[in-house]
Amino acid sequence: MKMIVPCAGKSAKFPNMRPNYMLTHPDGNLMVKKAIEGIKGIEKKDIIITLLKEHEEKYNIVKGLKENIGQEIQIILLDEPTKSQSEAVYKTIKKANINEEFFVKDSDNTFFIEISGEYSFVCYSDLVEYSEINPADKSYILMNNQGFILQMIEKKIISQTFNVGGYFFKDPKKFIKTYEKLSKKVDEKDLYISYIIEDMIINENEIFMGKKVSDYHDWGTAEDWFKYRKKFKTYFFDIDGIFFKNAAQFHNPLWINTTINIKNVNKLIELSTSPYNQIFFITSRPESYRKLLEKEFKKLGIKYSELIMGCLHAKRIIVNDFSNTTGFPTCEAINIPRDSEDLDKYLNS
Amino acid sequence: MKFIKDLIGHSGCRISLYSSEKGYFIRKISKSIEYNPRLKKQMLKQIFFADNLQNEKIRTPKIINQGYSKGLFFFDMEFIKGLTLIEYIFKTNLSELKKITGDLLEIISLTGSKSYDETLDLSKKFSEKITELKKQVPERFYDLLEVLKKESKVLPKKNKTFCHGDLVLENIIYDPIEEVYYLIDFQDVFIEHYWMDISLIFQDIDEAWYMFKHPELDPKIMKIKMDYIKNLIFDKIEKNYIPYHPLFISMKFFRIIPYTLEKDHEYLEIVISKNLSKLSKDHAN
Repeated sequence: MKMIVPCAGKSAKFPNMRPNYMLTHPDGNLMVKKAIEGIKGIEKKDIIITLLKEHEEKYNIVKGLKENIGQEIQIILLDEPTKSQSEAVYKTIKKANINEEFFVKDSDNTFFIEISGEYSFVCYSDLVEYSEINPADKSYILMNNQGFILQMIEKKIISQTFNVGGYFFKDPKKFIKTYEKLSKKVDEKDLYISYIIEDMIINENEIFMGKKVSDYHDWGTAEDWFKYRKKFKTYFFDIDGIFFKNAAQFHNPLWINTTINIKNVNKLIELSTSPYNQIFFITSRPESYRKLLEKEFKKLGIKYSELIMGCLHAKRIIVNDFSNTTGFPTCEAINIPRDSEDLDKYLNS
Repeated sequence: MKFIKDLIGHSGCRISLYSSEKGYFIRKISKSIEYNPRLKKQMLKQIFFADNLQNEKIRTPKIINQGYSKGLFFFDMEFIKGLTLIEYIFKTNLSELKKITGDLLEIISLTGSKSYDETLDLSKKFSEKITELKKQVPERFYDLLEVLKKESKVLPKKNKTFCHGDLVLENIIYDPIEEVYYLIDFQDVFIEHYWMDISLIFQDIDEAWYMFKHPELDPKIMKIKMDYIKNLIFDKIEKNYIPYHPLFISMKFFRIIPYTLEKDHEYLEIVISKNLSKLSKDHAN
């Protein structure tokens, strides 16, 4: 079973930046790697990424893709941008000589699903579960209670179930045949995969089931991507005067006897359990206090990345770069009165 | 022939999707050796409908094969893609409901269009069924059964007709692309008369029976839609049937009781009481 990830479009919804599949996820991986991370049941050697020759020439991206996703993946290079996703899939099947069932995955979203190959299917989700997606930009699926797809319609809300950009085809020959038939009748730029599937259902009597995905995130436009990225934050927290009542090394109240600021610690626990947050502590306490602090944080159930000790007891300044692909600003600073219990309020102001 | 997957069914029979060189098909397999003759009768009813009654708009999946597997009777039929009428009613808009109502009336008149010379004494049939049911339902329903027995004495004699036998909206599949209705899951029934089909349609429209199989459907939306259909349809069904409707619908719910859980008995008791009390009111008037 192969997985085709078409990345050979013009990336028109991400103006003035590198092709969207190359954008960097907050965790440091490429967007395309995150797009396929939730797809279970396909081996790395069966992943085929289709991209443009010009991308390789300009960015040397093939090496980066292999380094990020796996050396075993296959890359198909196309000379010209494709007019539609179905064209990219068609060319990939031909070039890679695919003779087995295959899964097509959009490069500009993520979701979780286990792929199994008893029948062809389309991955879907339910509008009511998402408040942040643009409903006008989706294709919709009309299914019956057995899960069979009856219709797929672009940009018209015919049901609350929408196509999330994951398609499993049992037979590449049938895809090829339908694509070749439709590409003569329909302008290729409009030849969505949903049209291929709907034609296969209605005219070829093919069966496609709906398969519901979980944890779907849409990165279809630059705006969607920035909105998603904005959820991620790296916090650098001072410790004393925020989570512990202010104390000192050499006089009372001593660091070893200080008490916790419960309200702020509760906020910290909430932040530390979110998958979108990364927490670093920065403190002027010397290394000799590391074990004590680590023990305290463990006791309180706080997850964090690093504890940076021995900082100056002085002003702290964070400097971060920004660009078209990061949004602006890329850093903020919050000054909070010593021993205030209002961390939540300051973070949200 | 290749097994693809099992489908959801409500009869206890196994319903599976298969593929062959000629395309996809559905296999319905008897739930037990004892059930074999009933499933065979149901298949024959489906064949009869296909050969004698179906038209371009109201059809049934074509039977393509039959046989036995490990002693269990099965039949294969054409695979139909569509929505159950319950699903379609939920998904569609009010203006489409008017069309559906007209089509439902067409379905009823189609099943009743084939009549036979054999006369059915409906009152006697009811009485026999009630005697049988008394052995199968809990004691709490005995008094209501007596009321039904007493009231059903007024039922007339009718000529036997074809009837689907289980014409709930779940058993009508609508193909919105081709605009064709497919009747599935024909049943043999103790009164072979199309009045049974009318009463079953009201089991869903008037008494919200579909909620047991489709708890996910918003009851408020469904009630508005079903009331709309009910108001349109009730004026247009056969006038001779209307005085007996409470008897037929009560009987239908009595027949369901042996297959239900105790938690559902209160609902059934309310529905039956409500319908039987309509008869008392009619007498008073």
